[in-house]
Amino acid sequence: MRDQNFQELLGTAGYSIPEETPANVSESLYTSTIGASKSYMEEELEKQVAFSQFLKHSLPNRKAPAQLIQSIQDRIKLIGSEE
Amino acid sequence: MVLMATNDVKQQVFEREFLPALDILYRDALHLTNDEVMAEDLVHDTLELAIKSFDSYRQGTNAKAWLRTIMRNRFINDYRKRKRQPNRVDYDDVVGTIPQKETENIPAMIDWNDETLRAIVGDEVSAAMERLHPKYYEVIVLYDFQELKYEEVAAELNIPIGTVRSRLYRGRIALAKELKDYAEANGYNNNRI
Repeated sequence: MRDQNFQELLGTAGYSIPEETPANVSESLYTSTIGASKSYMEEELEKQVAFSQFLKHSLPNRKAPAQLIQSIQDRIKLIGSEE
Repeated sequence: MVLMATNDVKQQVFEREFLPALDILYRDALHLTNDEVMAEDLVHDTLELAIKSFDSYRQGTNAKAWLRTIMRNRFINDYRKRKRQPNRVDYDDVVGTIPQKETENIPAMIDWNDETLRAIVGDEVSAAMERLHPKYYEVIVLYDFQELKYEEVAAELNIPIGTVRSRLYRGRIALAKELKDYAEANGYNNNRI
């Protein structure tokens, strides 16, 4: 009896294997299935490139506030004096 | 005398190599946290960690990359503590390496260069990011904003590369759907959507 979770996994992925197939064959089939799917996934991800660029340019792009820089400088001096 | 000299060296390196990287670090921190106060805290903590780990830094090398790595690690560690249980590869992620046929690739269906659309949803991106599931959020931040490679994201998050791709794909869909809905709710209408 093949492992139930594995069967369900393949079923979800749209694949099925005969019940009499040896377990080691099913594992290699699964590996090749996932391997083959990568190129499809990459193709789908490539279609999202414009969205990725849009995201990059949509989020804030500000300079570090002066008081933050001063605060860090003060802290570094303090760390140095503690050593 | 030795301690003073060490501090002097740190001050010099800070001024010469770390200070020029602060704007980039702050921008990254804003992307990571979506919050100005948290971003400032993250940059502050990063520089403090950097100074404490100063001996592992080779002067004159890529300070920006070194600091960004410290900051990412700091963020990921803290973020995961706040947002979720320790990372694990779950059934959903493994199945996710194969896109479900019924899932529409929404990000690919919309013209994101449309100025009208950009004007409507531009300010909503941060809020929509904040609503993303953490496992999608961190992959989008590292891949799209920090511009790491798949392999680097996988190493940072300790997940398989296939899971990185899957989460990126699904996360972008979830995000694009939120933005699409927001645009439509605000009167945007485009036949491509």
